[in-house]
Amino acid sequence: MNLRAYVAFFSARFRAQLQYRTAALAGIGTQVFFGLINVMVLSAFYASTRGEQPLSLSEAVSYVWLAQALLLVVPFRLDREIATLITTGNVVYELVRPVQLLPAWFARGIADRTAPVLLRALPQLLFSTVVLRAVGWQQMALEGPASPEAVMLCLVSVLAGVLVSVALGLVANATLFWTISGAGTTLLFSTVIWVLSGITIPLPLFPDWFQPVLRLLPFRAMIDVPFQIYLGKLTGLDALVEIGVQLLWVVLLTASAAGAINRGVRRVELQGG
Amino acid sequence: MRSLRLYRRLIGVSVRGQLQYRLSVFMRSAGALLITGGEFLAIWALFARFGSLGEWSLAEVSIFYGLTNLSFGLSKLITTGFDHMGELVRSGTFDRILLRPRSTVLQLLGYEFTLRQTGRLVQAAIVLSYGLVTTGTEAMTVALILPWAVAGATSLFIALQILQACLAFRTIEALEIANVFTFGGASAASYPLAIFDRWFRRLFTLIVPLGAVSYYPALILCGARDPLGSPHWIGWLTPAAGPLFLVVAVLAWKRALRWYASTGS
Repeated sequence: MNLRAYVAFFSARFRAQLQYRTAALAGIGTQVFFGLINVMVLSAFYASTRGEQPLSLSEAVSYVWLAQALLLVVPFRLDREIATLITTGNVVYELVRPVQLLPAWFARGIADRTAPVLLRALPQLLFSTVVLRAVGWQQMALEGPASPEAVMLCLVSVLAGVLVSVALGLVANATLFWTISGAGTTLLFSTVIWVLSGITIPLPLFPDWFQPVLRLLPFRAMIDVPFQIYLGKLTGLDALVEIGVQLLWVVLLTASAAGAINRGVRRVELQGG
Repeated sequence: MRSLRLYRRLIGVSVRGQLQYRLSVFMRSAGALLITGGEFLAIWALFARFGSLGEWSLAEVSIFYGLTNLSFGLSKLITTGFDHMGELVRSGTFDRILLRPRSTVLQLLGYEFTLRQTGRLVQAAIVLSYGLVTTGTEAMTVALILPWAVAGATSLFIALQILQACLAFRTIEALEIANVFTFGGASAASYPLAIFDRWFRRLFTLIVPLGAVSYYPALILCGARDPLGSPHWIGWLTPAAGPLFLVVAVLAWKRALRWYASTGS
């Protein structure tokens, strides 16, 4: 396997993604606004209960801000270019190249799931920690991590989460070999991801009876696990085990994507011309 | 009158065009239904955990949510032209629109009748009906105020999207940041305005009169008293802010047109 080729795939895509700085700036403004709405809604919900909750209000608020900062780690839609390659059959040109499809697409995916996040995460974290405190909205601000150890483990877990996202995106893209238009897959995929990743509401706030279902699904392995580590809900051995589960999902999902791509490529029909 | 007839024809052409691909229209509507359904599922999950949102029940919030999203969906049926403004300016297609002897607003509103929005409409209607049935609002009240409230809120959302498109004259791209007023407005108005902080309530009553078109009429629809202390009858009047804001937006659009310089492509 020619590693250098894949590194080139990654860095070309990474640099291309870094070009969209104005879009990132506009995106930050929008996300901050939606973050504020979420925080105010959650505060109102918490104000109406005295019972013990799986997250305290300030933890839930921190969760919302982390989710906004890492929003683009989550693959909300299919990779358009790969989708077009598959649906038009142009994927055969890719087969001619002296690289393998899966690692090439994986490298590209890593760039897609990191570069836009790097552009947006820092300014947003600055807003949710410093700016909100400066204007006197302590109760709406992002709290610091539970411990130095939590930061380290959280970073590792974020990286693992990126890999889970990439692999999940590849699986979704690979289904296009069978569905052609892909409209259905895209919509189903986006809905499920939107609700079950932790972006819309923090996953621990789903009803207790639903938690075992969440634990069996790969969606929480993208951002929920790193956030729980940051908040100190998962510590020590538990955190390491969860990171292990993340990596297990990477392996499982990548293997299914590989299988699907291999079978898909064999049945691609070309329409001449 | 003639413009109205022309508009009906534009819509007719667009609908017939899309119905050539029935399955695609159906799939995309179903998708919109699914996505907005997922969004409501999240609200439901929060109610399942917390029981209530302050003094508001799930049924009451459903009325706010339903009214707002029904209106937002209705506005999006006809504002796709304004949505594509950046693209129209960049490609020079807008020059052709200017050449035709009809108002640009009319042409853009007739640009596409976006059938896939029906998914969003169906979902919002289901949520709204659930809310109305559960709170047991009198049918007479609903029949009187609902059409008026929906008309007001729909006008406001159309106006916001026209204003967003005005930006395209300056920036070539309809900036994502303007989404805070359209999509952001819709998701904020899905909850009673009273739960938000004061600065936020001011933003959405004084600058963008979203509270006027959704919050006050929705209070009447769920038969609730305003915790902020406004008189109960005020919701019968405030939807008028929608059409007024629409007039302002169209005037702003006409002014913005003067800045238009073709990209030459």
